[in-house]
Amino acid sequence: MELLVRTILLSLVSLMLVQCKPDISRNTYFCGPDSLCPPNLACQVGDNESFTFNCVLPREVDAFTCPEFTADAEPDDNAEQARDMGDVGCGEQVQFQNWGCIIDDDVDHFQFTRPSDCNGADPRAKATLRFPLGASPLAMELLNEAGEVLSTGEICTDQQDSTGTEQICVENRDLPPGTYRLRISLDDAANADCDGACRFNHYQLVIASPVI
Amino acid sequence: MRHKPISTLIAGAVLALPVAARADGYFSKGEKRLVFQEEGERSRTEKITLLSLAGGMLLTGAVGTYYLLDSQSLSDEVSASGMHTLKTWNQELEDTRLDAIRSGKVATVALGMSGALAAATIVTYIITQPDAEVGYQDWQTKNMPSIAPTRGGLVMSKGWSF
Repeated sequence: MELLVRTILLSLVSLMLVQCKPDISRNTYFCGPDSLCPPNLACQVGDNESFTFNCVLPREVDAFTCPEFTADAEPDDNAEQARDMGDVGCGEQVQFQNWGCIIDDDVDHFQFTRPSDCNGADPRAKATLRFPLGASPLAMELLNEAGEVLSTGEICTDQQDSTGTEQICVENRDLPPGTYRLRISLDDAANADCDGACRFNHYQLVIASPVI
Repeated sequence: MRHKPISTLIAGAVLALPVAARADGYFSKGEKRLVFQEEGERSRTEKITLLSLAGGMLLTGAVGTYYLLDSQSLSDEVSASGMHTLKTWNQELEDTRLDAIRSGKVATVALGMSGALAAATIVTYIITQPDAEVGYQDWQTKNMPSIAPTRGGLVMSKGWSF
């Protein structure tokens, strides 16, 4: 009988503990693809200051708008209007200081020049585009001066990256000196735009010419 | 049954575990025999019912405890408060969260069943409690010490009359 009483008490105590469910507070996770967030939280798509998209309370979510400064580069919707990033010499890298911003069918163009062939263990041209996972993924293409696509960006996010961002890279080892362009747009093929509700994103762009 | 404790002295020594031996023997005045009580025995069906209920209680309790611990472990994996986890909420974490909730529900059901079975076991234990059986041992006219078997032991007795 004593054993039974103890068992019942243990069961009741256990039942009380069962009430413990996952408890997830706001601002503890970055939004995942398709603005995925824990239940009762929503993706802060309007976070234009920290370059991240965090899971917050639904009432904290602002409508997404491109920051004012991102409009400075516009119009850059075609090759002729590309923003000139200047020369990218051997071993150098240039970074688009401000974040870029894409909404819907917007397309951004950047232009850079490789002044000379580079020597080194592994000389190459490399462009890296970094953007939050929470909104629509972006696509990047490397074009020559004639507008032909030379390379298409591929995901190159470091596995240890825990910043809630994705990276895509364009890398080319046979790029002769000349002028080139990068075309950035939403990646419709990725099919992760929250069914059209998050067809936008921020990005950072780095163009480099590493030799090792 | 007449009960005259003043005129009858019962001397008994239980030569077994106190819990097991519950024979209360005494001599009734005028009767030439030893009267004693001992616990009756549950029927086979009652024993099987009790064992089944207790077994079910333990089984569901074990299952419930397993899922309870599983639920807590999974909950801890995804729970976060205060500091940013520096993680991205993805499908894997969402699956873990759903598994934690699922395990919690299984635990609730199993432990609830266990509690119900525990209650049923107790009730069954009580209502199947057998009545005490009265036993008799012929009184030795010479008032010789008597030894009577009981469940789980035996009773040794001797009587005096005043």
